[in-house]
Amino acid sequence: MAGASSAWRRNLAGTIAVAAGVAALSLGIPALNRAIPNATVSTERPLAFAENASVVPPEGATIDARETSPEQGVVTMAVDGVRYRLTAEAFPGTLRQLADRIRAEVQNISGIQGVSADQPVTSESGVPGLQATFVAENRTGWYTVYLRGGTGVTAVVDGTDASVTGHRAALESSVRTVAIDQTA
Amino acid sequence: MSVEQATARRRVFPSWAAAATWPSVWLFVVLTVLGVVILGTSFGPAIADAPAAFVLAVVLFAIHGTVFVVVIRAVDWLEPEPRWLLAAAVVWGGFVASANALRANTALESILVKVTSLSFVRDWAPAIEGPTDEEILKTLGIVMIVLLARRQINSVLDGVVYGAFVGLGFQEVENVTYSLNAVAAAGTDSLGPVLQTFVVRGLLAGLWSHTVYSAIAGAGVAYAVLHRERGWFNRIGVALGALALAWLMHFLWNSPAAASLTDLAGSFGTLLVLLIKGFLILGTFLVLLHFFRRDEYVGLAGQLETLRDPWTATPHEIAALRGWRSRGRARWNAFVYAGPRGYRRVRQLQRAQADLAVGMRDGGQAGYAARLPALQRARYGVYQLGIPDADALHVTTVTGWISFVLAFAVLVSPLFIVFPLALLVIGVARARSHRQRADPRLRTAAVLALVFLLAYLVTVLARAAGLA
Repeated sequence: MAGASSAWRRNLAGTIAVAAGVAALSLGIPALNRAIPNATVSTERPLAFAENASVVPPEGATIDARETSPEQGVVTMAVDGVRYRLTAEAFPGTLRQLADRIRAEVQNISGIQGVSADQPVTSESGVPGLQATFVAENRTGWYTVYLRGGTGVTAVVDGTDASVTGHRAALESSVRTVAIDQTA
Repeated sequence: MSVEQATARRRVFPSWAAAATWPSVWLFVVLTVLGVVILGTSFGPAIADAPAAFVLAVVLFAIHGTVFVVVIRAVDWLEPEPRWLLAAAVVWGGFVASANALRANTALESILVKVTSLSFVRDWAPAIEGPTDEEILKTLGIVMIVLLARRQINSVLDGVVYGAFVGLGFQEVENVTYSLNAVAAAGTDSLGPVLQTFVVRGLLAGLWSHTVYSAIAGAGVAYAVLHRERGWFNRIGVALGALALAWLMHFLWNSPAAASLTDLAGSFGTLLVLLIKGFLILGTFLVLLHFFRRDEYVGLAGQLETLRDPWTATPHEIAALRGWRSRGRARWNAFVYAGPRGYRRVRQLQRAQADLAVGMRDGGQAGYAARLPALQRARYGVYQLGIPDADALHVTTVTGWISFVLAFAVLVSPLFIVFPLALLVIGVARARSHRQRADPRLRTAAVLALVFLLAYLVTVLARAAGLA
C-alpha cells in the first residue's frame, strides 16, 4: 500500500513537471513576448522585410512583432496609432491584377465606405505602382502596390483620420522608398 | 510472481477505473483536448475554405504515416509495445506538441523580431524556433509515456520507439497544416499545393524529420529511466545530451547552412544540400539504432540461450531472431519448403520465442511458464510440416542477382515485371522439387518490381487526373 502511494506521488510529481514544461512553452514564451516592448526601427537604412524587398521606415516607427513574419515577407509597423503593413510575394499577374486584388480585400472590410480610383505612382528606385485611398467611418488610409520581375509588394497604411493626417508626409515618403531587388 | 501476474505484466492498466486514478492520465486527456481546440481554432477556417484539399492531405499523409508505422513496428518486433500506448504517443505528438508548438513558435519568432533584425529572423528563425520549442514539447511527450506506463520501458530501444511515434504524430499533423497553408497561399481549394507539399515534405524531407529527432530524444529518456544504478547526474546528463543531439539535427535541417552552395549550383545544389543534410541526420540515427537494437537482441537472445533447449529455440533460430532480414529469411525458407502455411507457422514460432524471452526477462520462471504453452503449440505446428530448424541460412545464386537487376528495369518499362515474377515462380518450384533453399533475392526482386509497378500506375493515374 505504501509502495502504491509512493508510486502515485512520483506520478503526480512527474505530471506536474510535464505540465510545467508545456506551460512554460505554451504560456511562458507568449507572456515573455508580451513583456518585451516593440523595437523602434532605424530610419537611416532600408529594412529588408523579404528576401528581395526593402523599405525605409518612417520616423518613430516600431515593428509590430506579432504581425510580422520575415519568412512570409510580411512586416507590420506602427507609427503612433497608424498601422503600416508591407507584404512581398511572388505574383505572376499584372500590376492591375495586383491592385484589383488588394482593392477587393479593402472593400470587403466592413465599414469601408469608398475607395478612390487607382493612380499611377513610381517608387524612388523606379518601380512602377498603383495607389488608391480609402475612407471608412472612423478610419482612413491608402494602399500602394508595386510590381517588378514577378515580385509584388503591397503597402497598406490605415489609422484614424487625425493620426494618418499627422504622419501622412512621413508615411508617403516611406512608401516611395520601397525597393524590389531583381537579382535576389 | 505467479503465472497470472507474469501474463498481466504486459498490460498497462488493469482497467479504465484504475487508469483514472493516475494524475498523468488526466493531464494527458486535458492537454489532448486543449491541443485539439487550439488546432481547430487555428486551422478550422482553412479547412472550411478548402475541404477537398484537407481530405486529400489527411489521406496522403495517413498513408505516409502508415509506412512509417510498419517500419517502426518491424524495428520494435522483438518486444512489441502496446498499441494503445503507441497511439497515445502519436496523439501527444500530433495534437499536444504541435498545438503548443504553434503558440510557442509564433511568440518566439515575435521575440526574435524584437531583439534581432528582420533579416536574421528570416534566415535563422526556423532553425531556432522549431528545434527549441518542438523538440522539448515532443520529449515531454516521451516523459508522459513513461508516466503512463513506466513498466513498458524495458530497453533503450523502447524509448526510441515511443519517441519515433511521438515524432511521427507531430510530423504528419504538421504536414497537413503545411498543406493547408500552401492551399491558402494558392487562394483556391486546389489539390496541386497538397501534392507539392507531399512531394517536398513527405518524400524529400520525410525520412529525416521529426520521427528521427524524437527517436533519439526517446533513447535518452529511456536510458535515464532504466539505468537506476547510475547517478542522477549521469542519467539526466544522457537524457539532456540526447535531447541536444535531436535539437542539433533539427537545427541542421532547418538552418540556412550551405545555402551558398544552393546559390552556386541552383536547383541541383538545393537537392545536394538537402541530401547531404538528410543523410547526415539519418546516418547518425541508423548507427545509434544499430547499437540499441543489438542491445535488445543480446538481452533477449541470452534468455533463450540459457535454456539450451532446441525444442524451445535452436541456435540457428535464436540467430534468426536478430533482425527483420534474418527473420524474413527464415520465413522464406519455410515458404519455399512448405508454402504459405510454413511461412505463417515459422512466424508464429518466432513470435512465441521472442515472447518467451521477454517473459523470462521480466518474470523469470513465472514468465517462462506463462509463455511456454504458446511456444509449444507453435513448435508443434512447425514440426508437423517437417521443419526441424527454422533457420535463416540462405543461398546466393546468379539467377537471384539477375532477377534483382531486372526489377529495376521496371522503372524503364512496366512490361519487365514479368521477368522477376517468372524467375520467382520458377526458382521456388525448382527449389521445392529438389528440397533445396531458394535465393531470397528472388523474393526481394519481385517485391521491388511490384513497388516500382505500383509507383508507375500511381503516376499514370495522377497524370490522367491532371494532378501531376
